[in-house]
Amino acid sequence: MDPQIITAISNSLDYCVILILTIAITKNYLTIKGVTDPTFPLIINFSISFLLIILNFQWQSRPTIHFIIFFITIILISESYYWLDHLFHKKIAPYGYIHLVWAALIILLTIGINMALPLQALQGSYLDFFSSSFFVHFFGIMLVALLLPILPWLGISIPTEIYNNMTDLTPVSTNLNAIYQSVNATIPYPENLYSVFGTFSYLGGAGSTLVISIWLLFNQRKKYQKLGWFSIIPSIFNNNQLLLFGLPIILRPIMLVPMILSSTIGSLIGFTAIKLNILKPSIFNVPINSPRLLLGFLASQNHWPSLLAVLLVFAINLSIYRPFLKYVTKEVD
Amino acid sequence: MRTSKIILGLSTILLIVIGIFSSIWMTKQHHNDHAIQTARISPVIFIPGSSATINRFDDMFTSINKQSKGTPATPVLKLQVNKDGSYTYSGKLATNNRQPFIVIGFEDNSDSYDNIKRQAKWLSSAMNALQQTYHFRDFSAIGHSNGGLDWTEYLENYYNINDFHIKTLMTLGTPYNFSESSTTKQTAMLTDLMDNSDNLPTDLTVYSVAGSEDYSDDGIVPVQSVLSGKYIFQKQVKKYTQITVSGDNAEHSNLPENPEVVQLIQEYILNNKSNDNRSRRADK
Repeated sequence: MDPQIITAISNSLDYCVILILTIAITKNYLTIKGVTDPTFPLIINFSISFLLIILNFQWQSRPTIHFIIFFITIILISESYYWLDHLFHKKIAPYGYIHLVWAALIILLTIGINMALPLQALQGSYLDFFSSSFFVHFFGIMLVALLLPILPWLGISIPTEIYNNMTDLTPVSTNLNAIYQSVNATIPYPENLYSVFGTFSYLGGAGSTLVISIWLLFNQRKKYQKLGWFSIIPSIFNNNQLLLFGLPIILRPIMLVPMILSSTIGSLIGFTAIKLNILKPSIFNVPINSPRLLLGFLASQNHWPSLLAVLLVFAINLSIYRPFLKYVTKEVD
Repeated sequence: MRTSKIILGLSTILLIVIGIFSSIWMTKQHHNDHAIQTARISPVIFIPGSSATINRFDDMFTSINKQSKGTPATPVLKLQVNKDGSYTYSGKLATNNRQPFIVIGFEDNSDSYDNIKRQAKWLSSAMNALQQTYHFRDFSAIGHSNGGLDWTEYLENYYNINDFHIKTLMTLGTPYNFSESSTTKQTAMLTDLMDNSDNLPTDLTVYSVAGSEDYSDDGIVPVQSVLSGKYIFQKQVKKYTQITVSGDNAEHSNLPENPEVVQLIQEYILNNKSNDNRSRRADK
């Protein structure tokens, strides 16, 4: 299938997630605050999310969706409605002119702020940044492994250079050129973000969350089992959005610990093994969103030890996540 | 729990199947990429205009070969894309020639904008098929009449810098504004080509050659229509040069045989060492 069609389908799903989240957050937030009939703010929040999507619409290229911006906007709007309700002691007629004036102001304000925001900076390319020589050294790679899981946890989009355009990074393409010129060439940058972080610390998405889906499959509670059923296939293809919102992981401090741990330990093992020449580094292009469990094997030209090393990291991830998931799935109920 | 086990089992099987297929695909792709990266040939690819067949450039090839006496004749491969999308090949490329000629023609060679769009799509698949067999990346292009439109349409909509690298494009009597002689009236095709000109490769060198029989046209295509190419290429590509040839063979259909045109091709495409870093290195 045309990759552009796949991108279009996955983009549409991302936009649907935002719209569903908008409804869920508004309804829950206002119900907790004691607003009896949240239909009107629900309609307004839905329309605003829809407008923001249209304004920043991307059809065939991957959109940069910072969920946190949507959360904050929706919560602020819901809060303002709550204050309006509170101020007039719930005496205003539903859909009366006060409501309409509020809606008009809110819509204008949101769209105005959206236009004034330096979105270019938020959606810019980090290719040059991640191509710098700092990121072929131990500290550079470990810094990425340490900090990157925090982004999805906060609801901020990961730069595309990290999740699907990694072979565009200069050290990676330099390696590829070297190997194409001569099969026995010395690889200039064996340790880089692609061969270390991309291969060992992104199993199932940032924070190596594929193991979460596996543990959920065997959870005692039906609802977690179901989340495991639905999330395992996307997780295999490095998409952990269902887990981020379903478990949920977003903004939950306890989940950040295993994410950072498994990410850094994965990179540490990968870096050491490549440095000691035990493993061949990942060099070749693989199709976008190939399962990361297989990346090491495929991109090093069917080098079996790479596959075994990734499986070892995977097993370590399983044991890292286990106690945290046990705690979390109990805590929620 | 049973369902979970089944799902886990199926996912594992899926992963193994993907692994096997990807591994086979990757090995094939790697060999192909390796062959393309190290390829030494850089063909000149010709496209004839409407109503013309793949034999359109035969006389031109004879003139070129005559001029370069002492060297073996340049090998020519002809490929016709049939209406059903299949290919008919004639001739063969010898791999020891660095700059062989390839002619790509179309069975459906009628003259319309719709057909040019179709031909550009066919051209794209023909280019991929040629690359699979001959593993080239660099090439130069020559299009006579509507053949130049095919190239432009292809470069704007199908060309991918990750797969190919076009060095020079030369169009001969190409009617960028169809038969419109006024520059103020722009046909739908010209507007589309102008709108999509952002997609043209920025390192491309373009020569647009016009024939002039009587100051206004070459017998078929108005000079103004050829000159409209500037609205598409200027400021989008590295170099855009407009050349007008006259004389006995400046009539539209004779352009490929015009001695001046043959001279231009020799000078700007065949002998253009500055375009060919590899041969320049070899010369040193």
